[in-house]
Amino acid sequence: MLFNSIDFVLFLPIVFLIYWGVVYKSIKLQNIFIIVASYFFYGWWDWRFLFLIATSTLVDFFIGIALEKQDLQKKRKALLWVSILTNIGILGFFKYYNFFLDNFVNAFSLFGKEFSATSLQIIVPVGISFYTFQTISYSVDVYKKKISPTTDFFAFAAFVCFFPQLVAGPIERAKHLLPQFKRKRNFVYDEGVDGLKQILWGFFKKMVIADNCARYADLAFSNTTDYTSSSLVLGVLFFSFQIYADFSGYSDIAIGVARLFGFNLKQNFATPYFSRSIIEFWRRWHISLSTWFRDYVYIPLGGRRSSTIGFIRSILIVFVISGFWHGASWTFIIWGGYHAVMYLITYFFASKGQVKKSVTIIDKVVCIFKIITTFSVVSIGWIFFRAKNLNSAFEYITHLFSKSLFSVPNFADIRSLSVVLFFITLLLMIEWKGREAPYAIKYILYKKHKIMRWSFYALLLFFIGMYTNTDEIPFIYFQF
Amino acid sequence: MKRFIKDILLFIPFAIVFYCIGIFVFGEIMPSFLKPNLKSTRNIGGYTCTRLNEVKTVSNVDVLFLGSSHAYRGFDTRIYKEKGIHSFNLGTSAQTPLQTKFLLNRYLDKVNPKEVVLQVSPFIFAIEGIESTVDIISNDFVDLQSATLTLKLKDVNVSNALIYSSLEDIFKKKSTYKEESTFGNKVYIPGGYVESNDTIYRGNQYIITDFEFKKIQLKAFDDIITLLKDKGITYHLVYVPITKPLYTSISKQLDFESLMNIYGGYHDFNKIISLDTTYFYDRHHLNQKGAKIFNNKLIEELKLSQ
Repeated sequence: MLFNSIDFVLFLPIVFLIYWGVVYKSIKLQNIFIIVASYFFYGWWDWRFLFLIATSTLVDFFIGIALEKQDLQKKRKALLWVSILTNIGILGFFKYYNFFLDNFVNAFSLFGKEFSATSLQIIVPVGISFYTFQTISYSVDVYKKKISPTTDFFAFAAFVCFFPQLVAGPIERAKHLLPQFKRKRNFVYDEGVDGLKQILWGFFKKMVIADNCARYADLAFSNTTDYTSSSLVLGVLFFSFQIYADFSGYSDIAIGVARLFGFNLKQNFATPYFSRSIIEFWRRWHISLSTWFRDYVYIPLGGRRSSTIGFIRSILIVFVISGFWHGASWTFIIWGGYHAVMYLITYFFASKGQVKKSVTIIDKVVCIFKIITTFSVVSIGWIFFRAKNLNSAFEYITHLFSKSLFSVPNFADIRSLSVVLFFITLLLMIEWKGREAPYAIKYILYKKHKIMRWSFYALLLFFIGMYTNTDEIPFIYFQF
Repeated sequence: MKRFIKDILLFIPFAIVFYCIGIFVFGEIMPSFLKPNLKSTRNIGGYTCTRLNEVKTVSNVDVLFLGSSHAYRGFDTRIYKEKGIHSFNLGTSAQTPLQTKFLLNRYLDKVNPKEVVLQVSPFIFAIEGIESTVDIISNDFVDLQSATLTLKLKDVNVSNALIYSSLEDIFKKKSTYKEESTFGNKVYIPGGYVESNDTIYRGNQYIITDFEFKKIQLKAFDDIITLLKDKGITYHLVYVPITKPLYTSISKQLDFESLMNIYGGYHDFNKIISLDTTYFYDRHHLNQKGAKIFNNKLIEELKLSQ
């Protein structure tokens, strides 16, 4: 079920009312209800893949308990590997099988050996990369004795399949989310209102910004040679805002919906396009994934405690895996590698992105320059992320830097394009104003009269109704 | 919780009023590119506004034509008049069975035709009918039936059109509106037909298109046939000629033919007459030269003058 669908608009209030009005007396009942609602939510798309979630849940629940009971390190390690291999096995088969097969065949043909293999028609289950990472982190944390395993199966199953964050995160840790399934939830008015505001802001970002940016980004990326360089620059700009508004919009909706049910999810984005360096960008972009890689890959590899070579190796590995996590394609791997290189350049040759209060005009100018530079570097990386293959990416970059860079963009409908640019500007202004808050509109008109605040929310709704792209565009991160 | 629910229940009407005011203001003063989800269908050559005004003055016709632009640019009511057949063309842009059913429910008793000619093609079964619903709702009065159709389609363009159209009704703005009778080289002919003499068709080829017939349209079509049968009205299902490259690009032509044959009275004029590119305005529509040949053949084939 998509958040931006009529189905979800009906689903949410029904689930909300049953949750607080019928099953509120018992934590266990609430958790069972969350499991039922979440499986319904996921099964609406394709019920067959519910078995994968159930498998992942059962395996990690029982391995958690077994790890607690087992003292022998060798056996504990074996149990951990069962968990990791089960989850990575599911992920690997559904997401990466064809990629490895194709590359295996191609590699053989390079050496003049013909090797025939048939690719399978595999549907990648929505959200598989998210919930498998969540369950892996649980097993690893139990193995490392950072947390105790839960014996409450319903709490654990609800933790794995919690519908707001099931398909596109934020990727939660058991230490943070699991205890919330074990304690009594009380409805708090301010939390509920905050949740609704965050949902509204998420929908605005998704339906007004992302889906309208998508029109122009799609044009530029699918017909690269038809457009002037200036149009391609706009194409990258639109994709940069599409992916940000799409994914952070999803995260806002997920966090907001979780709030309505008394849960507090991690912040996933912290105005990343205002970062002053790539290092800072990665502290603000898809935070739940970045911190996952930090804790489960980067630190075990040695992190900053290792030698310079070790550090460089860790960064390269983390970013390349992170790229590969996004999709089974060389474009994502190159995107990850590109960010690793930019990260290392920043680390060794530039400031580390420490936040310094801009006081003088010069400080402010320097700060703006750094923000624009970082945004440009990130945007160039998005070309690899968005292009359908490496050839298309290089073709895009080649056309981007040509003489027509200073010509008028040749998109057919410049007037509608200007409307999208207006909304991007509006987004940036609101996000700048609310950059210290967990989500941008939290404190907008906070102290003003209710009518003022309600008018602002109604205006956002009006913008959604008037400017939403009526083609139903799924969230980009659903495919990961 | 009570306070939360109370606030939501207060906010919903507040937001609805705010939204409606916004729609009205945007509808009245904003240029079309600033209101992408509130499309105006007036003065763009479809003449739905004019046609729906005219249908309110028509009654007891011999033949009523319904369908998409293939209908209102294909069935020339003047040719029928010459042969003593009183007809009216109630075709509207991209009309699908959903809107045909809507219009029949609204105007069938008033127009009281002896026979109904339904223009059919695979295209009308493959789309939701958003464009057509917006067109009809924007140009006709709003009632419960319009609201029901809006709910069925669940599309923001249709909802916005319904709101704006309702407000136009309230402020009596529709009755004072008059469309130009000529738009480019298209001329509205009283009786609902739109004449185009030119040709812009360049004989392009088209890639094979696979249509998936929508259940909602099949159901609506079924309802239309039942309604006509119940009222004892003779009906004909007519596939108006389209250009050969377009006709041959439709992969499900045979499926469509089988479907139409279930209902009976089906006539595919792409097979009955052969027209070259000079008889078409564009790939979909006949020009006046083509319409003349087609309508004379139609009268003969359907024995309408009898």
